[in-house]
Amino acid sequence: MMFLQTAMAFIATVSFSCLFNIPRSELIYIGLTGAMGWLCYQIFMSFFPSGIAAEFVSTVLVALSSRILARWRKMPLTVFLLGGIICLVPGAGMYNTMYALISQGQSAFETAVETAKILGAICIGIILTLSLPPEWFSYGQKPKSLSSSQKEKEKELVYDSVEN
Amino acid sequence: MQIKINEKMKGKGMDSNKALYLTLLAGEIMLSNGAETYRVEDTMIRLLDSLGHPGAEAFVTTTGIFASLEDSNASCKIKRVKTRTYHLEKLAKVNELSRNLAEGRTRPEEAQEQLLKIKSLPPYPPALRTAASGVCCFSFCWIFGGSWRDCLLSFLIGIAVHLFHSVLEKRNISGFLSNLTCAALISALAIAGIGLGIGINMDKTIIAAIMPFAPGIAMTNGVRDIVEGDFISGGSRMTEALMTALAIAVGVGFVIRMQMILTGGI
Repeated sequence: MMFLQTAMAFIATVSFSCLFNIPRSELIYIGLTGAMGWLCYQIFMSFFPSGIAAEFVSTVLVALSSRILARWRKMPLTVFLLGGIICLVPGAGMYNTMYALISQGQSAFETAVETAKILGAICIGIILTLSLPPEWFSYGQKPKSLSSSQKEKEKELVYDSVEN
Repeated sequence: MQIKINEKMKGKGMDSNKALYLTLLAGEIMLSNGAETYRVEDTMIRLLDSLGHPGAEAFVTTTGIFASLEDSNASCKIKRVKTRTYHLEKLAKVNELSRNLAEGRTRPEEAQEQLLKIKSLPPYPPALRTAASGVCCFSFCWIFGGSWRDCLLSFLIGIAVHLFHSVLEKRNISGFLSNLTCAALISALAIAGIGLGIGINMDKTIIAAIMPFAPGIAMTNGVRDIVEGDFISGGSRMTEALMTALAIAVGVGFVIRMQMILTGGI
């Protein structure tokens, strides 16, 4: 069951990425990122049934692997992060909030707060991972300087070497 | 030190006008195809640097690009970016070009031709995208625990709504209205499909079918810009994400509420 879910997450991630014209050579990596994130979510949920913590951990995993992939494949990070994260977006929470809002006699507050918490967990997961220093992801490659021919200039002008 | 470098670069650098034109072209391609603003700024500065204009500045917001050079004429150019679509392949290609220029694998004279080629890069074939939309809805429905009949219904809705959305895109309907009508169509089709006996769970079907419209890219880019300290662009991206979510909620909610009233529900 878990395997089938993971396979479906792979297909969902790849086909979602197709809608945004992702470079064709990266489709398989994006699919793997998305499938890994969803697998992590399921495993976490089966041990600690807490939706918010599971979302947070899976988001961090997806964002980390996106950063590594972006370095390795020399692609913008968005390419991997966009598809990888989509399975974790709380579509059901948003729908339930909306449904509670339009049907009388049902409090929308609890579902709204729950959805906001999950969204917050995803945002914080991304922010934390992206704030890690870029050198950690360079595998001994020299962080690329702005221009190799102008060594003197670097002493004067300090650019950060954000690559991905 | 600065003057010394500028003298060293004299005769080597590209004509200021041309360099600015190329950089703004690259920036426009990136910004109008889903790049974060800080990445556009970074790439533009790198490009100007490898075209022989060190110390240049670029300032980018979600709707416009500014770039200025450190030369005797104090050259500066502005570009307003109006359309915004998502074509990440172009983004990757501009990134690659900028890297090749910096490493000297591409000569500056070739840059214009390559940029124009990137600009006219075709998207995925429409048939493939339509099919992808259907498959996407199918698999999301499965993930969210729908039965196989719900998945089938989601698949059909995904295809129909993608076709409808591309018609709206051709007519230049604004983003809010197009999201709203697409969401309304999704829930109308879901209600109809369940009435016809194709699907069983309305919620699972609708949630899966609205996933392709989820503002994932606006949200991720917004967060990324905020991480980089660009709160203006980050904030406006987050607002965009919020507006999209709102449009979808209103569209879906309106149709479901109508159905409740018409069938004498709550």
